[in-house]
Amino acid sequence: MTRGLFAKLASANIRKNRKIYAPYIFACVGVVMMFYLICSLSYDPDILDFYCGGSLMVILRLGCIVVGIFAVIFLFYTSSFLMKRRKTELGLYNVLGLGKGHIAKVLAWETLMVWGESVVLGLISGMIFGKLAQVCLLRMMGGGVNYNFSISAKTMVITAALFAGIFGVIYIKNVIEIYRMKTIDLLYSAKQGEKKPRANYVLAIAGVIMLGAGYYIALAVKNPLEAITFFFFAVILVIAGTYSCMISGSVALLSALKKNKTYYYKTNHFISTSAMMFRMKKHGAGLASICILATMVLVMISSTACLYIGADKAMEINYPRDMEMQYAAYGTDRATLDASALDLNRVITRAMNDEDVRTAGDIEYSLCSLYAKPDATDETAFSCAAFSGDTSVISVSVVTVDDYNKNFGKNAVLANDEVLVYGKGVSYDESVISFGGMKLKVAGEAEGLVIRGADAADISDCLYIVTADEDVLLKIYDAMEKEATAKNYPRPGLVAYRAFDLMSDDGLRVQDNDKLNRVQDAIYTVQSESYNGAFGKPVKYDSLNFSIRNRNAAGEIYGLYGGLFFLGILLSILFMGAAVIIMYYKQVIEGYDDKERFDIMQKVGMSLGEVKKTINSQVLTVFFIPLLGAGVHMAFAFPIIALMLRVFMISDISLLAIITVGAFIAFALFYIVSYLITSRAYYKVVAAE
Amino acid sequence: MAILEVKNVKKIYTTRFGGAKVQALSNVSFSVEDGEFVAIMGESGSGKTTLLNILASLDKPTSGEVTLKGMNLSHIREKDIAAFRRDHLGFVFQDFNLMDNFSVMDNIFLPLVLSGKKYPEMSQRIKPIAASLGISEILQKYPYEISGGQKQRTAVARAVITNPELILADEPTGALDSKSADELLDIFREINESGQTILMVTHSIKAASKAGRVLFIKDGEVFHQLYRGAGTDEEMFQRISDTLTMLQAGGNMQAGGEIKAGGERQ
Repeated sequence: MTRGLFAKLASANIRKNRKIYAPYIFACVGVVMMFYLICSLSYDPDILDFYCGGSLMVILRLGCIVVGIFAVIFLFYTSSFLMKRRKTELGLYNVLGLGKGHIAKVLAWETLMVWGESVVLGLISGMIFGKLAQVCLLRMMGGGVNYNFSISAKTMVITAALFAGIFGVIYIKNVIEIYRMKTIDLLYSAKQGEKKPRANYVLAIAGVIMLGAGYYIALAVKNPLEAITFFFFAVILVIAGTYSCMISGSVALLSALKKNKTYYYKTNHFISTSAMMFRMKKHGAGLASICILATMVLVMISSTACLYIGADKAMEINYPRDMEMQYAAYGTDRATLDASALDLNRVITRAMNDEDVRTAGDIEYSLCSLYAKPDATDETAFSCAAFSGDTSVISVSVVTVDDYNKNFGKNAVLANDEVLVYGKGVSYDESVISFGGMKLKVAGEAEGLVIRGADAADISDCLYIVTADEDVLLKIYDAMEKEATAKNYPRPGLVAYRAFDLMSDDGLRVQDNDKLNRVQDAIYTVQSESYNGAFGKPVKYDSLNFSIRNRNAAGEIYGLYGGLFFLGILLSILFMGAAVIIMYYKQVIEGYDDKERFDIMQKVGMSLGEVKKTINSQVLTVFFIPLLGAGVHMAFAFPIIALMLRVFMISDISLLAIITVGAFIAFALFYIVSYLITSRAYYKVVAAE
Repeated sequence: MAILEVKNVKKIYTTRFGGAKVQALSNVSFSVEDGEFVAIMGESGSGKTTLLNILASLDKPTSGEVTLKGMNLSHIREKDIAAFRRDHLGFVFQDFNLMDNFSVMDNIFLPLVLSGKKYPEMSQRIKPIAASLGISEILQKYPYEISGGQKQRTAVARAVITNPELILADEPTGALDSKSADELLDIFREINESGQTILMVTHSIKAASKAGRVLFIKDGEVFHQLYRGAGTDEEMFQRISDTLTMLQAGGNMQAGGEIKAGGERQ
C-alpha cells in the first residue's frame, strides 16, 4: 500500500517541479540519444564494410567514451542543481512526518521514473535519428546508401545499463546528502546567507600563469608532429586556467576595483561591482564550463570541417595523377639515375600492356631531393638539414628548366645563375637563394609546376627550384652532399619520377579502385622481374629505392575525414545542448537571487528602472564572458590547429581561417539566441509576485 | 508645524481573480509634528502595513491625500519617486533588508552613493552615526557575520545618514530578542531627542510605550490615540495595554470618552 503512495508522491513531485525537471529530463534524453546513436554507429555493419570502416570504428568508439564521460559530469552537475532547489521541499516532507528513509524511497522512485523516461525516449529518438545519422555519415564518407532499418539490441542494453549506473550513483550521492543534513538545514538551505567571496590571489595568479603557459605552448610549437602532444598539454592548461581565472581571477580583479574608493563609490559602479563579485563566485565554475564547451565546439567544428572541406583540394595536390612512382637514388652517381629512369619506363610500358591500359597526362622528370634549413642570420642561405618534423626544415626539390618546360607546357629560358622557385606552404619572396654557398638569382615563380604527391602530403613545407640545366642541378647536389657527409646527415637523393592517369582501351579514365590496385600490383611484379635482370643488365638496386602510390588511398582519407567531421558535428550538438541547459539553470538561479535584490534595492530608494538597468547589465556581462573567453581561446589555438592539420595533409591556412571565423559567428548567433530564450525564464522568475 | 499630514486616506484592493474588493483603509486622518515620535498600533490585518506603504510612497491611496512637508505624495512623478524616497524618507524594516553582498559600511552608504555623494563626504558622515549606534567596530563585516541587533542598528544608520525629514519604521523590533529590542528603542529615543521625526508601526506594547504618541488602528480607521504627556514609560505601557484590552473587549464601540478618561486630550 505504502509503496503505491511513494510512487504517486514521486510522480507528483516531478510534475510539480516541471520548470526545473523538464530541462533535466530533456538533457537526459538528449545525452541518452547521442550515446545510443554514436554507439550503434560504431557497431554498424554497413559502415564497417566501408574501406576506412575499421579506423572509423575506432574513432566512433572513442566518441562513445567521450559521450559517456561527458554524461557522467554533465548529469552530476545538473542533478546537483536540481537537488539544491528541492531541499526546502524535502525538508517540509521531513517536518510533515516522512522519515529520511521514506524520503529516500520517494527519491528512489523519482530517479527510477526519470531514468525510465530518459532511456525510453532517448532510445526511441536514437533509433529515429540513428538511421538519419547513418545515411548522413555514409554520404559524407562518399559511400552509397541503403534503406535497411536495423536496431542494435546490444547497444540498447549498453545504453540502458550505463545510464542506470550513472543515475544510481547520483541517487546514492543525494541520499547521503539528505541523511547528513538536519531537517532545519534542509528547510532553510535555500536561504542561507552567501559568504563574502574572498579573493584567492594564489589561485588567480596560478590561473593566469596556466592560461599564459597554455597560450604560449600553442604559439611556440613549430613542429606538426609535436603539435599533437603539446596540444594535449595546452588544452589541459587552458581548461585549468579558465576555471581558476573565472572562479578566483574575476573575484580578485573585482576586489582590487573595490579597494579603489573613488572608482567604487560611484552610482553606476557601486552596486554592480559587489554584485558581480557574488555572481562570479557563485557562477564562475558554470561560466568556465560553458566557455570550455564553447571552445571545444569551435575547435572540433573548425578543424573537422576544414579536414572535410579541404580534403577535395588536398586530394588534388596529394594525388596529382592516378599513379605516381619513383626511383630514388641516395649517394649514387648520375649514370645509375639515368639507368633507373630508363628502367622505370620499361617497367611501366610492360605493366600497361599486361593490364591493357594506357597512360595519360604523363609527368616525367628527374630531380634532386634534399632537406634544408635557412641560416639563422641569412634567410636566403640554405644549408643541409636532417628531417625532424620541425617547420623550419623544408624539403627542397631541384628540377631542370627543360623538364619543367616539357612537362608543364612552358618555354622558360634561364641563365646559368638563374632559377625559378615554387613553394608549398612557403612563398619565397627573396631575390637570391643559395645552397651550400652556391648563390643563384631568383628569376621568377615556376607557375603551373605540379609537385610530387609525396611532397604535397609531407608535413614539411617544400620548395621547388628550377635550374638552367643539369649541370647546375648536379652542382647543387654535390655541394649539399658534401655538407651532408661532413655533418653526417642523410644525403640528398637523385630521383627519377613518373606520374600518370590511367585510361582504359576505350579512352575512358579508369574509375575502378580495384583496377588501380591491380595495375599497381602489376608494376610491382614487373619491377621485381627487372631487378632480376629481365631487361638485360640490372641496375645497382641496392642503393635504389622504389616507391609507388595510387589515388585509391584518397577514398580512404575521404571516408575518414567525412567520419571525423560527422562525429565533430554530433559532439558539437551535444556540447551546445549542454551549454544551453547550463545557461538555463544559471538564469533560473540568478532569477531567484535577483528577485530578492530587486525588492531591497527598491525599498532603499532605487527606481525600478535603475534596478533593472544595473541588473541587466550584470546578467549580460556574465553571460557574454564565456563567449568572449571562447573567442580568445580559439584565436590562440588557431596556429597549433593549423599545424596539426598538416599531419592530415591540409595546409590551407586561409581555408581554416575562413571556417574558424564562420564557425565562431555561427556559434555566437546560436549563443545569443539561446541566451535570449533562456533569459525569458529569468524574467519570469524575477517578475513573479 | 505638521511635517506629515494624512487626510481621509482610503485604500481598496481588488483581488486579481474574481475582482472582489477588499477595503484595507477606510478613512484615515492624522498628522505628525516635526520632532515627534509616533507609534501606530493595531492587530494583524488592521491596515498598518498598507498605511505604511502609502506613507513610503510605495503604494498610492485610492482616495484622500498624504503630504510630506507640504508636498503631496500623489503629485510626485513616477520617475522622481525613488529619488524623493531617498532624500526625504528613511526606512527601518522588520527583516532589516540589508544587502548580502555589501559590507555594513557599504549598506549604510547605499542611499548616499545612489544620490551621487563623494567618498570623503560619506566617510565624514558615517563616523558620528556609527559611533552613536555602536557599530564602528563592525563596519567592515558582512550582514551574515553580525547579530540581529547589529543588523537593525545598521539599518537605522542607513536610514539616518541621509538626514531624512521622516523615518518610517515597520515593526523594527519584530525580529529582535528583548535585549536588542530595548537597545534599539533607546536608540530611537535618542535620535528622536536630537530632533529626528519618527513614525513607527508596531505590535509591541513595549516598543509603543517609548513613543510620544500612540495611534490605534482598527479595521482601517484611526480608532484612538494616546499622548505620553509627562508620564513615564511604565505608565505609558500600562495605558497602552488598558487601551488594547478595551479595544478587544468592546470591539465595535466607537472611540470616545471612556478611553479618554485617563486624562489624555483628544
